[in-house]
Amino acid sequence: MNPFLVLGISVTADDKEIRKAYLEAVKIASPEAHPQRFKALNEAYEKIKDEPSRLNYCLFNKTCAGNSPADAFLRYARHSLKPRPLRFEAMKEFLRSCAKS
Amino acid sequence: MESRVREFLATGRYRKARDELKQLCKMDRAKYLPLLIQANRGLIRAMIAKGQHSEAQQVLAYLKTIAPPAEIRALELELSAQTVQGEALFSAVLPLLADPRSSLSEAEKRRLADQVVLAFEPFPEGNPALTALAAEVQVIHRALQAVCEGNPDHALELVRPVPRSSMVSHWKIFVKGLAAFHSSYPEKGARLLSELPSDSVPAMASRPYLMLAGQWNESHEHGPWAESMVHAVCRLTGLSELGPILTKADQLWRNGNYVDSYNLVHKTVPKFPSEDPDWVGILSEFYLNSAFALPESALDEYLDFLESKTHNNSKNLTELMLAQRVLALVGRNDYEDSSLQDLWNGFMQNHQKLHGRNPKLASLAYAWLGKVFAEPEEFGGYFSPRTELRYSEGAIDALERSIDLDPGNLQAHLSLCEVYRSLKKTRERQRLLDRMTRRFRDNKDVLIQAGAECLERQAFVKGLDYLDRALELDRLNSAVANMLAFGRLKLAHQYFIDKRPKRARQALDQAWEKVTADPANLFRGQWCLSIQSGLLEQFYGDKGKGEQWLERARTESPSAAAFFLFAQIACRVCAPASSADMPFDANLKKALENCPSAGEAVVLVRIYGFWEKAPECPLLVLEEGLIRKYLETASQGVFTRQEAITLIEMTGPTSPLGKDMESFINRILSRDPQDPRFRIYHLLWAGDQIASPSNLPELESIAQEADRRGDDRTAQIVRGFIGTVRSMPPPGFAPYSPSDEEGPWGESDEFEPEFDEDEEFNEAEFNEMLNKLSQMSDVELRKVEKVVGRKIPPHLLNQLINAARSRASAQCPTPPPRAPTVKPSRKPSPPPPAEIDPDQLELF
Repeated sequence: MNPFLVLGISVTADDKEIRKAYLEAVKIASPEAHPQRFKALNEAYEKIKDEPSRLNYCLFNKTCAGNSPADAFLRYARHSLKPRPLRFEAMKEFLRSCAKS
Repeated sequence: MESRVREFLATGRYRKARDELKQLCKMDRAKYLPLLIQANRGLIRAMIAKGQHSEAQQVLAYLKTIAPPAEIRALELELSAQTVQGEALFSAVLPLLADPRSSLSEAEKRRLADQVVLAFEPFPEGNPALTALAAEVQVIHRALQAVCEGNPDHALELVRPVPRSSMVSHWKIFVKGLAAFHSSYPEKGARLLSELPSDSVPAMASRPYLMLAGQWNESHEHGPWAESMVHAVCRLTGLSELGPILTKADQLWRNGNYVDSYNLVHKTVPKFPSEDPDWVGILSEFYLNSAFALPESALDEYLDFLESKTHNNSKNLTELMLAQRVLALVGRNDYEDSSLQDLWNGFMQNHQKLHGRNPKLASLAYAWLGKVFAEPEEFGGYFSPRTELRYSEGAIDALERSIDLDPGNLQAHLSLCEVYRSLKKTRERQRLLDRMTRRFRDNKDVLIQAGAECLERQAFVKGLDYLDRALELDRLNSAVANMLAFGRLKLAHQYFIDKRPKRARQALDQAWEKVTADPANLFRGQWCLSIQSGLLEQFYGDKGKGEQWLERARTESPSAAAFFLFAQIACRVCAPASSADMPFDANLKKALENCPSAGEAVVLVRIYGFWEKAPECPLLVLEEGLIRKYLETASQGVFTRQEAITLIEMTGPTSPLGKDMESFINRILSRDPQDPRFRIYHLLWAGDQIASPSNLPELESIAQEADRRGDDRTAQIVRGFIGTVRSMPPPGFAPYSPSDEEGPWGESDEFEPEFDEDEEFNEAEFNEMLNKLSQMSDVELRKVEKVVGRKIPPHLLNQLINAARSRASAQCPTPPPRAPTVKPSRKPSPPPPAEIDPDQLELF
């Protein structure tokens, strides 16, 4: 997964910003409570923690986020999207669509 | 028919099941009626899900004729809930739910309760029996509304009074889960949502939330479930319009229509492709980087498609740049050098246009290109592989450019250094290493390289200083310690020659600081250092002291033969030029005659190899003869399989010592004719090309035998040969040759060496030299390289030496093949080494 997404930072973030984002994220996702998230954060941080790593990532990144477009999107959503509550009408519609499926 | 019917029922194909069951019922109604009822119930539910209510009514009417009314009551209500609204629904459903003696199952009651909740209608007043349930449903509605309006705490307050025994208690759990999820407690939310009964509507609605909370079940990645998930997640994340596009693109991708899938997203998503870290960026990364993961069968078409983006796309610079990067990385081995260079330069230029100048990035990029061009292309035999750089000029250009862009790029420096070493560009390498030691003062690799290079050109003091600094940085590095001991001995030798014995002894003392107790270490084992110290003293210093050293070495050495062989060669290396004495010769011959053994032979061959590789080593013709004789006798004695393997691997079929290995091979095979490793050696020593189609059955048989015996190493070697044979073109295949383009009357059959006009060689001279060189041993060839190197233009000398080696090893096998390339068609395949006249390959 794209390390900038995992850490929730912009691609122009510098070393300091990246470290700050990483430390804040691991404070919430401790290795005991969230081992997978913690591992993902560590991997992401290692990939972009300093300038040479970031340049290397920019040039030679070969990771493919999923097995298919939808899979890639769902993985991205899991890592990065925090949904807002649906509007009540949208919720009704959503629940009815679930009943049909 | 019955088993087919059961399969239809299990897979949800109710209509087919029903049709066949009707026939079965005619044969045995009592047995098959329950199944027929089940099939019809399933069919009605499927029709309800699809919104085919009138069709479902028809099936229900039929079902009423064959099923007891109690059994279909719930289904009837479920269907009417779809068509009837408001009071009619409640009056039909609520009494059943409220009745504790109802015959409905828990699941059926839950489904009906879900219908009531999803109606989102106000309840009729007046019936006290229904008041409690109606109140609970209304509480669920209000709580859902509270969650949607961003008041999760209020929602929790509202649902608290709903009891666990309520028909809508699963909705209470759903509300609590949503409230936790939207209050930044996704794990707690996920825990609650995962407790819901799986056949309920809240459970269905929970799935996207569970996925977003990290509870994504990988087994549900494919199929319609994943589609509904995509829609749901898109909806929950405010990207409702993306759902249909994504599911269609996903379907195309999964069906192998990769290009269509890309085009669909490209057309419908305006920002695509993008480098931003958002959902468009992630889709862009997926589509571009998939080129690294696609199966080979689909890769060509996909790469062609990406290539077309680089040809006719000037509007979307991001797409052009991303495509160029991927194409260069994927096709690094398949593109022609110039095409690869163009692609990579294009990528860098476009990157600069989009993101501004970044010298460090550019330096890294050109270092990569240089490294790719400096990759060795290997050919030759299993025992004597030879390499040439892919495109040496390109490598030097790219690496120099990389260093100019970022003088702190260490990897670029190291790569360039390696290129110069491979090309034997000594002066350039020296200059570069000097610069490197200034720029990277505390880098171990730089110091080691600079130290080794200084020792090679006899700048001992400087070289030893570098190596000392390297050892400071890595105290456990035995290779550096070996080089230090070796260098200090050389320095002592030089001081003795310069008649500065005090300094020489200091250097010897420093060499002794690196001594090791391991007698197998020929650089700094006690007995080896003693021999060299003794010889230096004998020739240039205190003879008595020298005697003492040698005496000590004799007792410390593993055997008399080892001592005399090492001392004999060391004596020839360090004796004054005027001395022609061979003081150890007689003793060496005597020691070698004494009970030769394979174990001892391993030590002797190792000593021979050690000195043979040392700079300034004289030709070891005499010693070679003695060892060969020793090996011949040892091969008649007792030896282990492992000793034989060690000797064979150390020598190889084409080296002078290798000639005597045949008897070892035959002895082992006479004991165990099926021994897979020795069967390979037998083929190698037979002199024929091992990787040839005629050997394929034997190679396959050897591989099977190696597998059977669990001999992984041998299996790996033999599979390499098998791979080479299989990758050969079929008989009659004519590999591409530039001369083919000369037309039907081209002179491609003629063997015409193309000499530079400035060179004073002609074809006859060249062939004469070639013949002479091809009869020389490797040692002699190296000597020629050293001695004649200054008199003949280097490129010509290299050609000569390579050609001679090719001729000598013409019967050697090709090495095991490299991993298959990603896209072989991108570059005309070079003719396989096995099918080529090695002379022509090397010379032209």
